[in-house]
Amino acid sequence: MLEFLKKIDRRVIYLCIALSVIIPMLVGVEFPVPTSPMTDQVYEAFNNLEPGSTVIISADYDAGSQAEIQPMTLAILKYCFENNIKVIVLGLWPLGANLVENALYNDKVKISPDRAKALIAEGKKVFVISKDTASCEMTIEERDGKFVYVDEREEGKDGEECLAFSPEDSYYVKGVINAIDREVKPGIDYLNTGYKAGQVVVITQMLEDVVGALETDISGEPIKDMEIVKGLKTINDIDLIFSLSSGTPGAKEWVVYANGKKNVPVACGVTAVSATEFLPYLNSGQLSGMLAGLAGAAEFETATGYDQGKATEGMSPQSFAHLVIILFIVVGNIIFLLEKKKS
Amino acid sequence: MAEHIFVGTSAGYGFVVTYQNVFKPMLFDKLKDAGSEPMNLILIIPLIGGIMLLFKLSRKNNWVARYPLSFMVGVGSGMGITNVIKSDVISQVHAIIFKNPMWISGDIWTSLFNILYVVAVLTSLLYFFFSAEHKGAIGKTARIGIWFLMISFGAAFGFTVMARISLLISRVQFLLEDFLGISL
Repeated sequence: MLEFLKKIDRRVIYLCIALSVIIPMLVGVEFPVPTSPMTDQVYEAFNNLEPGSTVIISADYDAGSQAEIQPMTLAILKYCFENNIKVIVLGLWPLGANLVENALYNDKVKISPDRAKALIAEGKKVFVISKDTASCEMTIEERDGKFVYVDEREEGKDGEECLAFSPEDSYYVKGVINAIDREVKPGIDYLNTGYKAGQVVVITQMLEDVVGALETDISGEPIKDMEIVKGLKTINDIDLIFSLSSGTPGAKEWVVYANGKKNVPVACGVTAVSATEFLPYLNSGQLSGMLAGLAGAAEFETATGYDQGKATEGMSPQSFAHLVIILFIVVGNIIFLLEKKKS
Repeated sequence: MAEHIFVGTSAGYGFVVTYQNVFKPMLFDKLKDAGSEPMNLILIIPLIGGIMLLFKLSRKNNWVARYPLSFMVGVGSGMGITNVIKSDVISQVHAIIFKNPMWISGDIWTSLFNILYVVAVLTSLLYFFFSAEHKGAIGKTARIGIWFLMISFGAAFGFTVMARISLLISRVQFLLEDFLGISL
């Protein structure tokens, strides 16, 4: 047995990890996601904002860290828009602001069946994946008081009545903007200023002149006459800065310059790899809160009550994979100790 | 081959994004006489600096690149040093001494944690103190510091595992839901 365990092929371990991720997803195992103090701090930071407050979301990440950061982006945008908080987005990384734009208009945002019914009644486009629709994405529409499938492939289910809005099926809309009750107006409630080159220089410019530093929106239009920036002069007119950060420039630069020089509250959502780097700033109060990796995003979804979130969905496979890794570490150590005893 | 395609695509994308977001709006457009806005001739200085940086590619004349590079390093240091010292040293020391009092009456766990925190900082720092031989009391205290460092490395490793599993989860979610159309 000892010899067998010693010579176990590494591909067996890969397979075990893969299965520990796939099976819980397919079976639909759910674990409670309790919030940690650092996530509670982020929630408090947002919760303490008055309606009409302005938040800067600095998208300092790219496709490589999308898996961990994008669920945070979705949850934070949704929370801000639902609570009438104005959002100004900039990207210190070239791809960051575009990923936020994706979250706003393209990414899947899961909703409950009841919410799906309500949104369809409002005339919004709701998509569904269920056994009933033969494993393909379809939309549902309300026609003559009935909910019917719209099969854009023009085959199969088109026009057939959708009777059961089952919790086992996946309902979603495209983009945060379609998942909320109120209308979000660009230039009034929301502004994406796109990628801003210059790294730290952009932040230092913003300390004294936010509009002058950001200059244009993502499509190149000047922002100085937009309603969202009216009365906005220095960085002190911003109520909270939230950096979605996966490296440099990112949360550290916002802490050093915006918080260090102007005392503006800064919170962040970071990749799990870099989370320990930011703990000293959190303990000293320089950071107003931190979401650490996918777990942080899931905790924020719990705090805000978005139980359908992508991060929460990923927590059961995460836990199973961790259990498998722990098991292998324990087995490996037992083998090591037995070998040592033998020799 | 996949690696080459990835690197090539990233470099190409980076070039286009940099041209569209930096060179065009911040340099070339401002060097044109657009009628309402006159030419901003001062931008010729950073343009020359940028061209000088390209001399790094020449073996014979790569000394030319040192001038803009030294300017950039100087500006970066000037902007950064005071702020980094304030946030990474002064604010940290201030927080450990004043902001979080070690003993909080009525909250024994937080108090013990705070004391442990201070002990961890001091013993870990002592491990990196090389002006005295790590023998006797100093050696024993430094060994305690090693334990704290190992625990912090373990925490960092745990977070790294979580990050890697998160990437796998994201890909599996994509394959099952978006690619195969399975309701999760």
